[in-house]
Amino acid sequence: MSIVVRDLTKSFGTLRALDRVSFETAPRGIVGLIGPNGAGKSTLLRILATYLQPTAGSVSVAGFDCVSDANGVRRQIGYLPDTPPGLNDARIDEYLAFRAQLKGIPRRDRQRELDRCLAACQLAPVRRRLIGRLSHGFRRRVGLADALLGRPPVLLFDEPTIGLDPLQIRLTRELLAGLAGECVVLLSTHLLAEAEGLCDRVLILLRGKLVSDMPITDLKSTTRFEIEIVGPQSACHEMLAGLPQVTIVQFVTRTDESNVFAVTGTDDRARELAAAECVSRGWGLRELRRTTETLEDHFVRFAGPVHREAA
Amino acid sequence: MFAARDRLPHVDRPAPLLQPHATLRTGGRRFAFMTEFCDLARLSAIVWGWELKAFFRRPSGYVLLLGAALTACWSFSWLVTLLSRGQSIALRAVDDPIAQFLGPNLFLIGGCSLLVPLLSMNTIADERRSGRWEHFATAPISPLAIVLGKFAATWCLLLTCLVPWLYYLVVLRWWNGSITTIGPGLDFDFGPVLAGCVGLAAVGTTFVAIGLVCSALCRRPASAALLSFLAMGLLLLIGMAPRMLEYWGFPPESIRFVSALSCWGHVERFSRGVIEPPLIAGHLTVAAILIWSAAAACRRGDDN
Repeated sequence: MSIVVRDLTKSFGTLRALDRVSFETAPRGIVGLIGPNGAGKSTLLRILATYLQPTAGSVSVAGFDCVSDANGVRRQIGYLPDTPPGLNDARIDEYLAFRAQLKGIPRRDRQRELDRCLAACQLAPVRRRLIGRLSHGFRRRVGLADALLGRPPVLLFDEPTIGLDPLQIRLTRELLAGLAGECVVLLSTHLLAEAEGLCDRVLILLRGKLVSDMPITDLKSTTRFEIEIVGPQSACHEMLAGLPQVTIVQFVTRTDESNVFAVTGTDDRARELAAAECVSRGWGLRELRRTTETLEDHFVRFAGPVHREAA
Repeated sequence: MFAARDRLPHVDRPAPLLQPHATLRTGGRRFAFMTEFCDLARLSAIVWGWELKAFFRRPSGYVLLLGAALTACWSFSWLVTLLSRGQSIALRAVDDPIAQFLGPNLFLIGGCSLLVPLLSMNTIADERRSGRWEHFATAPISPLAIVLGKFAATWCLLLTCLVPWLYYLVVLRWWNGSITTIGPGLDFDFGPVLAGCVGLAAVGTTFVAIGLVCSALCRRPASAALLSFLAMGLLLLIGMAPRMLEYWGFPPESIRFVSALSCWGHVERFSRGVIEPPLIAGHLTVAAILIWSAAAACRRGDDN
């Protein structure tokens, strides 16, 4: 396993930023980390990058413990924080050469490695520019190039595409997709479409708790449909929830005499069974419509109630 | 569109370039300490080089150097005035004016008290305020190596700022006796000058280390500068304390103890031409403790 997190808790005074978070990742692939603002995504990445210390629990990256062997972990990671890097008066290639020195890249490989990272992040034409005169997007790419230096087996990216123009976003996504076969990328993002398109697996954090850990393939294989039934609301809900293939039933709305439910199931037979049950109980079936489960639906299912509660 | 799993199920990955350090570490427990020490020195040297380059990249660095040179010039004009009047009417007739120039004079001590906060305020506080510290702290380098590198760079910059003082003395030595209007010339001895330089370098380690601790403790560079300026002021006050204690009739042991703490007193002792290794060792020890404290403050600060 590349990243192993066990019962990780992080508190800042009375605020609990992470609450007993546990997960593991494979040595390769892209794992998305999504959640609303203040969910604890950046805190989790900072702990994995050894910038913060956990309050409780254990964290190891590429076999090195984040607390007892922080330097060992730092040699195995490439980390892109949410702040742009570097000294404003330094040139891009000078800054990256300094970072390569810090990371201990041997002198004979340094120039080749710099050229590789500059080319990968489309920075080669502007390598002699001062960092202070770069746009936010270019600075993010400097950070990205810094993270890629030394080919670390674990990459931790905090919102890598924020501030980039559409073309840069596309190129960055292609770069990340290319990295998926080489190493593990833990990607924190607010862009659900990006996570859905890029990631093999998605973790959802809410108020510091890991509420969902699901491979994207599971999301694609789930069946989702909306059903409008003329019948008592609670009985309809119970009937749907009791079906063997159904995992989640959500009440959507009520019209004059019918109720609409959104149902998520593990296979397509759930729809047939739901229809058959309605008929057998003498309830009217007004509509049965298949919908597609997106990551956004999945996310809103968890985050929506929390957001409403907070509001 | 860009799904990783569809495109690249597996790629044979080139070996990571960070391997050599990992192998170095497995060399055996006997050499673990030596390896750690070499790593610390190597990484500190990298940070030192980067910080020096960073200083000379900023226009503010040159303004600071110019300010230091002008202060030295002002002090030198004061020295020439003293010499032209004759030693008997110097500010303190007991001291050699040359020793005073590179010793306990207000221009030098006051200049250092201003220079150190200005040089050290950005070292850590600004990095943390701007978020650059996070990039630093997540690289394979310990906070101690970062602070040590920054300390060495700031100390070198402080000495660079003091170079004009030496330059003026060399000019004075060169012209000594050749200008008849200011007398036959003075008995110029390079001993106190060299000892004064050593003394300034030794006391400078403590000053710079105090500046770094203040920078590590504060979130804003301005607060760091103010705090270290106050700390320097306190050190100067300690320099005056023995005379005040004497006046108030304190026992000699207390006066001796306070005198031993006075950095002003240390500069004065060095500027008489005597290099005292215990004083140098004392300043290096204090600086080491302060550097360690600054590194600890950085670690603690990140977590809050």
